[in-house]
Amino acid sequence: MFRNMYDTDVTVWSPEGRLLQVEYAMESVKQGSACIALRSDTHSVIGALKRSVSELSSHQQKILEIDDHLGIGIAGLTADARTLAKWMRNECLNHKYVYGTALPSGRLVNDLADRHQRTTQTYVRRPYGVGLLVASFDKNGPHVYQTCPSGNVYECYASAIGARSQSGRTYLEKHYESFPGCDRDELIMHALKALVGCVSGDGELTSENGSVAVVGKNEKFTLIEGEALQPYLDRLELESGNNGGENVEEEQGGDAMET
Amino acid sequence: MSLSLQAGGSATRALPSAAGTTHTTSPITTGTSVLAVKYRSGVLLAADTLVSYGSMAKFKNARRLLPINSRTLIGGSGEYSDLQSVSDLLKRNALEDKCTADSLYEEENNEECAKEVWSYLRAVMYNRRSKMNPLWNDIVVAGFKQNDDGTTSDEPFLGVVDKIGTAYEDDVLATGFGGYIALPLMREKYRPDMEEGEARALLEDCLRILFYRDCRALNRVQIAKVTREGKVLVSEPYELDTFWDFKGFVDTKAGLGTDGGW
Amino acid sequence: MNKNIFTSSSLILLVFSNLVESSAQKFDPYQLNGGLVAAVAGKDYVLIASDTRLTDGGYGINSRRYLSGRIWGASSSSWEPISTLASTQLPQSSSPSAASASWNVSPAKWESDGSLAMPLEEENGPKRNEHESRSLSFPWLHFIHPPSEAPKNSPVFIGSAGCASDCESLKRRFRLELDSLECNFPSGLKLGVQSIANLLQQVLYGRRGFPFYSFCVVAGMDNRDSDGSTGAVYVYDAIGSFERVAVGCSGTGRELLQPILDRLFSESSRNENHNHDECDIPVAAHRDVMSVPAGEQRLGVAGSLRPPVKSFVDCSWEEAVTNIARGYQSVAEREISVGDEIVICLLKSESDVNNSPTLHVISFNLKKD
Repeated sequence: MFRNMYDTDVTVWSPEGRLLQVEYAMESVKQGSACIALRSDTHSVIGALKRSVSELSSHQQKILEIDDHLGIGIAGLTADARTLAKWMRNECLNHKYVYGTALPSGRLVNDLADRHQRTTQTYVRRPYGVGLLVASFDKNGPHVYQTCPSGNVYECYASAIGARSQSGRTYLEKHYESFPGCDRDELIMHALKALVGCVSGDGELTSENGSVAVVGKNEKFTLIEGEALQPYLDRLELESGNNGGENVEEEQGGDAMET
Repeated sequence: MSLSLQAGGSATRALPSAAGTTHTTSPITTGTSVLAVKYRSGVLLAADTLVSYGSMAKFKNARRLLPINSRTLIGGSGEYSDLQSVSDLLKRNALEDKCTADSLYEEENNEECAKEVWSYLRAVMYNRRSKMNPLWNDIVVAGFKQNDDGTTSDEPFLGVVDKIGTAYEDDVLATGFGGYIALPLMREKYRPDMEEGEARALLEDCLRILFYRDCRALNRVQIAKVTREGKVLVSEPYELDTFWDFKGFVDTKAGLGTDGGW
Repeated sequence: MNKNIFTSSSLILLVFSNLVESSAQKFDPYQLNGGLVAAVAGKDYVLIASDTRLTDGGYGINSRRYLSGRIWGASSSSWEPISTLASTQLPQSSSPSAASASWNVSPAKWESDGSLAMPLEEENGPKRNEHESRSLSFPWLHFIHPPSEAPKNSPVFIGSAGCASDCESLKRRFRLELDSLECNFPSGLKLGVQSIANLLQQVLYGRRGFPFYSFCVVAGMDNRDSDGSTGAVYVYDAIGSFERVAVGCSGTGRELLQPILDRLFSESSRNENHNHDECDIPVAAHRDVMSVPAGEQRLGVAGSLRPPVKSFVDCSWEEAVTNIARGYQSVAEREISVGDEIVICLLKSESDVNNSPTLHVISFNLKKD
């Protein structure tokens, strides 16, 4: 890697008008294992691939519950995500304390984006190295948001982040028009199908490394993992003799970052 | 002790800060009763338009029934300046909600529902009383409850918050002097299936009685309603007909030669 | 010298004006809004009761159906609300005691903030629930067996009375602490009744300097014993002193209610072999029937003595409900802040239904004047 003069601090501009530290932080999101989220008219679903450091260790949590109506999928530095999750939980609790109701997710992600942004303008601090997919069901219905270390936040119908997420994104782009009418289980299946393409070459999607969460009308945020995920994986195997995300774009899988 | 983390972010919106160190220990310019009742298709509020400065009738066209957002109405008695500051605060929050609504949805219901406004107001009033710097008001909040999915429920909401943060809901409410004179009358006449006309007649009767009996009341009144369709309507001030020809009023001695009448 | 006189006189003036100010009407952050809460621990049940009158601190009645700050659930917000109970007006005769009383089993609903929504008048007609069954001894009571996915741990209830705004704030504060504790344990931390009791003590004591004027009782099922769960009741003062009792009450009129309940329950606890003569004045026991003889006192955990009084009563839940109702009726005769209605939450452990307790909400009319 060549050495750049303008990346010593987040507050230093490069002559091309870029903040290199922020861009590096964006790169760390791409190192994290894949995470996808999508929504129908009634539900939001997050799917994620979990990694484990070794055979003997457990898989790392990729989906975190924030409140009954909201959860996040993460790609990037897990430790940063934990800090943010703690803050988000606290925001939800405080809103409940004052208003007695669940925090509207739009307000939460905007505040979250502000939090990201603050670090990009402050000397000595570093941007959060994590991208989040926020899935929620609030008084306006289901939502999916994507946040970046740069402080950007997008509301989407579906999105994918992390390593090899391009194939997942391609799957979502191809099928997103059918999502609104999907019921809960169909939406989970779409999530798994998109996720299959994100698995690295020699691996496969199993009940150990797969993780799905769903939230929706009359359903609180629920994590589906392990045993509970198996029926969906069986169905996936049954349905897809041939497909899955075929156009896998190899990206540099990084072991440098613990994710 | 704090097991939880510090409050922050927009979940706890800035509460009005105390300017200087002079704390209100008694109200100066005050409005009297606010009456409220649920009826078949909504909530009806009533108040007169008088604000008194001690015993002087200071402002005779002061509006104390105020729409906060498109689905919520408040009515306040007590210190009028505090009421205005509360209403400013709530309207500011409502505007912020409206402006920050940024979504793929065409959102109509980004606004707070009446119960959220009421709950928030409770926190504001309680915080101020805990700083020994109260907002000297009893504030009635009216609107509709909200279903979990955000649609407006069919169930009307009516709650009140007082200056120390006591908050409760009921089918009929009256603040100030009305709590003594109008509330029993309203409790007696109240039915959940009252028509609007009936409820309005009840409130007007109570306002008239209050005008007769409460030295700080006026016969120039306003009526406001929140309906199931999500409409908030506040009437222009109008005058109630009053009847002063009772014998006891006309004849100082009530014709008895004793100390009747006034 | 002149200057001295000036300063001293201004000092006097200052003192004087201070005096004037303090004697003028001062803002009082507290108000006692009435309310009386009581709880009874039984061998396999626990119940908590409150009246529903909210006064303005004086003679005025703000609301006759206030409950949200009186009885509330001390468990996480994710706790499933218990289904509604069917509403039935009871025939006068079937009322177990207090002949003039009319009982009804309330359609109760738990709101997400933990409060028990005041049962509505029966305008919507009784809503039958699929889980419902009827007791043989009390055919007018409807029971709700919780759905099979109901949480294993039983709910804990807190009753609070005193300054209504403080009670409401205490409720929110307490539930915030609880939620923030629980969300740090995503695997699901569930506090038992004794932990809830300790947490409440901490929250109350946290405001030692500017106390919450809320006088509390805690009621829940204690699952620590290997031989099934027993009822546990704790009573508090405003700044967090508390103890475990069998029968406790707090709030306005507790001085009236406590001795009545003590008497009623000590009679209920005595074996029912005294004959029901027409002239039945029970002879006062020569000792407190609730006390445990020295020889039978057991050592508790960490070598501490178990309280030398029984921590639960022996009588049946039906009798406990009746005693509570009679106690409240008596207090309502003399205490103007108590009246309108009482609401009783009864938590009963059912050995047959996969060990999860059932909850029943019973309301009972009191004097309205």
